[in-house]
Amino acid sequence: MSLVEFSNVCFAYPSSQRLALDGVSFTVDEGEACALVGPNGCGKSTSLRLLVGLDHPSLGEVRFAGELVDASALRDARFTKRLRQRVGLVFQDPDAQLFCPTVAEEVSFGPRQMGLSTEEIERRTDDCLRMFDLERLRDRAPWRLSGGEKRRCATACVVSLAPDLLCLDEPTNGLDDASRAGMVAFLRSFVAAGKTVLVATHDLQLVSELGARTISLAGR
Amino acid sequence: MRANQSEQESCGSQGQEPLPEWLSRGSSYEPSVDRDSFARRNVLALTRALAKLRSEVDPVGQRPWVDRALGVVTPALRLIGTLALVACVSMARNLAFAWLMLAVLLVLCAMRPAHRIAQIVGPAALAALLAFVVNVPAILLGQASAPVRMATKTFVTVGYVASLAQALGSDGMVAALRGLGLSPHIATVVDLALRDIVLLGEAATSLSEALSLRSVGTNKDKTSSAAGVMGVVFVRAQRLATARAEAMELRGYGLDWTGGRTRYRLRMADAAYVLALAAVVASFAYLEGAMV
Ligand SMILES: Nc1ncnc2c1ncn2[C@@H]1O[C@H](COP(=O)(O)OP(=O)(O)OP(=O)(O)O)[C@@H](O)[C@H]1O
Ligand SMILES: [Mg+2]
Repeated sequence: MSLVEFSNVCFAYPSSQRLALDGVSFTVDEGEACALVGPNGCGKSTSLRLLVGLDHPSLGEVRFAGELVDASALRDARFTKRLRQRVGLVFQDPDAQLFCPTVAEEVSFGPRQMGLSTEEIERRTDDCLRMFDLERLRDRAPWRLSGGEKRRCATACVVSLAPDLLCLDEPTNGLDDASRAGMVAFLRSFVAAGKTVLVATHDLQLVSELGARTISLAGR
Repeated sequence: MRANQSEQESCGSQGQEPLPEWLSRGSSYEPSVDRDSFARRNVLALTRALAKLRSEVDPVGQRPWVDRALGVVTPALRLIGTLALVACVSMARNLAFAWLMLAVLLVLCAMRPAHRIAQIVGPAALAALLAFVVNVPAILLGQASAPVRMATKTFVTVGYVASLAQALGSDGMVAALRGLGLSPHIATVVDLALRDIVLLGEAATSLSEALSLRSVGTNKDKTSSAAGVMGVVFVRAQRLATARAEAMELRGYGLDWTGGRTRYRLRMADAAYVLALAAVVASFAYLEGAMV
């Protein structure tokens, strides 16, 4: 069974006439690294939104771990909790997802919501700050960080949820060589640990560095 | 070789289409003096002031002792306390109570570092000024004291709310709202609404900076560009607020993970806070009664 399964998914944003996704089908297996590629506006970000249940297909099905992700499934709190814990999404725009007063609080937000023990929260926060080279910035305000620092911070915040499937929208945008190498190294070890990565990207070098299988979405 | 090189540079990254001539041409343009930069400068100043409202929280060790002491009090209780205080100040028919609370506010402010004071007094003064101006016509209706009264009350209430927002930060605000038993969704909305005032300021700042960077030369239409800026600001704030709510949701916000809130136990700090609040309300009742 595939971890992620899109079958014949169609979707249009309420404010627009055009289909953002028109009959998209693909699967992602557990432990795989996959890359959604395609021209601007082909629906990469939209696919990720559907996968985490922020929007729902107008036609077709989105399944995670065999379970249908739709409005009625999300009304079940147990399903939603499982989905939130197992799937993490780092948005394309890092600004929109940073809302806490300090970087450390930002990174610990998810674990705190999940009601983990204080030691566990601290351990995850410290580890994530270290992995994404944010230790120096831990008491800084997230909205005062540089673009690349924000992206690393946003990624660390999602990683702290310990998801099985990590979805990243343009993860290498705005990263310098060192941060980029750090990000690639992290993603490789994430996959090596048996977890699954799905990136939406234009960075073909990243795709080859991850050894990711590409899923092309046709533009129009 | 040189020519070749510069030709390569003027080609876009695709390497086929040369840049349009107006873009690749070196700029020899000298803007004429812009006499009407007044509007632009003021939009910038106003929006910078708004952006300052965004509350940053100092790490615990760097907080003044008032905030450290108050930090032990349950956030929800502090929210109730502040609301009660705001209600008393607004209801007060005479100014004695407002002056008393103003004195307390200023004492509390004085214990904070300068930039924190500015973040409380700034918005309060701005709001008070607005209240004063709005109430000037009341003088014509024979209410000579209305502008001063409204300005004082506004200064005091905004000052207390700003200092609470500053001390709690957005995270504490969420905790406070949820502690009041609001459903997670309502709590998010209220919390986001509170923070959007600030977001608006920030979005407006970056936009008006973009505007002032682009408006070289003399622009006759400053008001309409300023209006355009504010319009875009609202759209952006709305978009950002939605995106942020989604990001919070994805990170587990609003789901009851632990199964039931932990039961509330009265703590010493809370008891002390309630006593102080009772003293404030008593002084309100006394001062109001005394003047009748
Ligand atoms: N909120 C929205 N409302 C209406 N239409 C939208 C919205 N967001 C995206 N779209 C449209 O949906 C289509 C797919 O957008 P999407 O963001 O998924 O593309 P993308 O593949 O991620 O592009 P990029 O490579 O530029 O990030 C585009 O045509 C876009 O204009
Ligand atoms: Mg995208």
